[in-house]
Amino acid sequence: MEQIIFAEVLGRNGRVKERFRLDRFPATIGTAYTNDVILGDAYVAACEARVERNEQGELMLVDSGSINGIVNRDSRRRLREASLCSGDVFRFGHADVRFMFSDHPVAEPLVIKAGVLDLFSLGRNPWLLTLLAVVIFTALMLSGYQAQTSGFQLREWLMEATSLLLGLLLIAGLWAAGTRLVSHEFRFLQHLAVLSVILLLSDLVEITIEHVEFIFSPDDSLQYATIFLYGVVAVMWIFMHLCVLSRRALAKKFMISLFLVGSLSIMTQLIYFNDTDSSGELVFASEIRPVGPGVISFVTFDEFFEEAQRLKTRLDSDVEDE
Amino acid sequence: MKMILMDKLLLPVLLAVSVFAVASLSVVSVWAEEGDGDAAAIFERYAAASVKIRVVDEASGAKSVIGTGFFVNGDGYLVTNYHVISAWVHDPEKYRVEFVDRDKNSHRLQVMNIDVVNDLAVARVEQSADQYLRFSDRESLQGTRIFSFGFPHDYAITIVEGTYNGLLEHAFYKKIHFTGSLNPGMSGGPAVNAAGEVVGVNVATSGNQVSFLVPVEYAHRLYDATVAEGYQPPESFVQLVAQQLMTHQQAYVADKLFVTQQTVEMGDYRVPTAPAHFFNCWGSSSDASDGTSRHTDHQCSTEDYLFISNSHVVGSAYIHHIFLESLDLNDYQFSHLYSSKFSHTPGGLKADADEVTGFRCQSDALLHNNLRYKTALCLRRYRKMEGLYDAVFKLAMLGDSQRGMASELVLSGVTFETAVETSRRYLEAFSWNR
Repeated sequence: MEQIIFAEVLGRNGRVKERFRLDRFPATIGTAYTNDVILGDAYVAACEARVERNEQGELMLVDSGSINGIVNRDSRRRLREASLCSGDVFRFGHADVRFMFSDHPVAEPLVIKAGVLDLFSLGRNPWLLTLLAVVIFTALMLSGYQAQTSGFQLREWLMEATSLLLGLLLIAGLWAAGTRLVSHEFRFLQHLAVLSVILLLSDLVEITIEHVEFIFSPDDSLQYATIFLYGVVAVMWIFMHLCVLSRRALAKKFMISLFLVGSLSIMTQLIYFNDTDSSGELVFASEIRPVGPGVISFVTFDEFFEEAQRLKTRLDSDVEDE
Repeated sequence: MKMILMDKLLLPVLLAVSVFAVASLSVVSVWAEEGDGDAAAIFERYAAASVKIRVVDEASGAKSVIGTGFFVNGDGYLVTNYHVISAWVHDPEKYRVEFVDRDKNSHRLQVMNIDVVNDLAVARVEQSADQYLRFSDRESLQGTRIFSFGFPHDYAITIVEGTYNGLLEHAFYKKIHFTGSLNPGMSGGPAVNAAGEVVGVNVATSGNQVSFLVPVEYAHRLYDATVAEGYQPPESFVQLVAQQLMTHQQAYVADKLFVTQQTVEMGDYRVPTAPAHFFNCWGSSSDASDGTSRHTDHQCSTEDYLFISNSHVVGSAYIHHIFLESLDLNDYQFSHLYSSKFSHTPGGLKADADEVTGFRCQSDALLHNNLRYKTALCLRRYRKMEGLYDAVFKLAMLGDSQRGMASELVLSGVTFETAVETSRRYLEAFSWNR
């Protein structure tokens, strides 16, 4: 029986764009519609090459008089003819074509692991749904705890929790709408889970930082740690949403998340620090460190106001810069 | 409590107003030397010396501020409030200042001099004035009837009869308490005694017949300085405003605040109170509605705010202490509450973004006189007036996780050196009481 091979036209990301079944030889490759493998590439000739058997019965790729010749993608060598092995990739113009023999071995299928981290099966698993509810509840509890400056007040907590919950639902809905556009699925629960986990994480970060501040009354270095931790949470946030949104390569999604978080933080900086009134409020809120009883080093009045001289210089240069 | 106090501080409303209606003005006047005290007679004799002042937007050709002014000599010199013409001071290209005569003709005025601290201005028109008023050099007695002239809400010239009620108690710069209804548009108008002599210049009201006049001595002094030989109006009035603020902050803050230390007992501490005689202090104490904490407030403020422009008011100074006790809070909750009291933005510093920069702060832990503090100093600079800042100095006592004292000193329109020195004196006044 004649051996069957497949010519796979590869896209930029290495995925198969088109697949042609070749069972009669010689089989021809080119842009003309008479070919067995039709390539839509302006750099390929009407009849670029052909696959045929030589006298020994081996399958060969033979140039049909093209300008560019046959190029083996891996060796980058330009040839008039080459013997074909299963998995070889040749470049025609800008198109990569991989030749696979029908007896090419294939890998074992991967097992779909049902577990906590498999967000995609969330809607079908009652345990995961319960877990999601617990996460949401804990996040709301912690946020309510954060907002307190006095004893527990049910009414205030309910108000805080309701507004947060509505916010979660709204943002999850928006992301789900995005998912619907990209992948034709409406993954509302998955996005809600991502949001809840992130809310829980940021509450934990905030509470931890506040406790550390309260106990140690540290200096400005903690501010940078806080910014860093929130940065990490923000990157995780976008990354997890992107994971739900599409199944592209992880590294790419990570880079997109970094880029988005970076540009968002630059935008926030520009908006807040260009507007005097908001920055006034913001600086008051963020630069004055909280009051805690912990062990700290003290400065004297003179040292404090020597430092303040720098504040004055900065303000003066702010005005001069304008 | 804070809001109530801020309302008290900002309650007096300056009387200049932006209006679009054109009011008719027709005054028949007769000059007379002495009056018999009857409002109708006073009006007839002296009303003609008061004129409507307006600041006209050059682009639209319409008025944007109106007020009142009065002639003080026959050479066309008149006195009004600084705040009436302040729009022109800050933007002389955009506005012009003019007065409207009895026949409703408008004449361009040249601003000659200003006194931003007492809210006065002297302007001049290149023509002689047939009617003018004299400055009184007599002391008025409390209860004396006085008569104020002006154009309320751009209506025709109006006379308001009222009572002279002495000088305000809590004010560094003298202000007359006038019991009578002044209304927007009357700013800069004269208040005369029965003899037709100016005793004060209309400046502000806080409603219900409580109104304020600038004592005539300041107007007289400014007029004398303006007509003195060799006087030339400055090229930039904004720089003159800056100079006057500089002098003001030296006299008002640097030389006066916390010079003699008065303290009051609050919880575990003795804290400064009444930084100077012109401060007014208020206090209150209350438990939180859920009974978890107790707050004791003590604050002192002044009423000498200075109007710089519509979007910028300076001059006020205040101190505010909060003694905070936990009744049923854990340490973490108390810290949260204490921090929120420490880091809130103080109110009462009115300025737009184009007048001042944003605040920049630094905070640190400070050891002074064996007391441990968390302190913060926040400054913002006046964009158009070099060397002037608004300063907020905050402190919170450390060492107890269930009780604390948070305190702030707010100064506006001061130099950096004044801010530092005043903060030092303020800090010196704190002591441990147990």
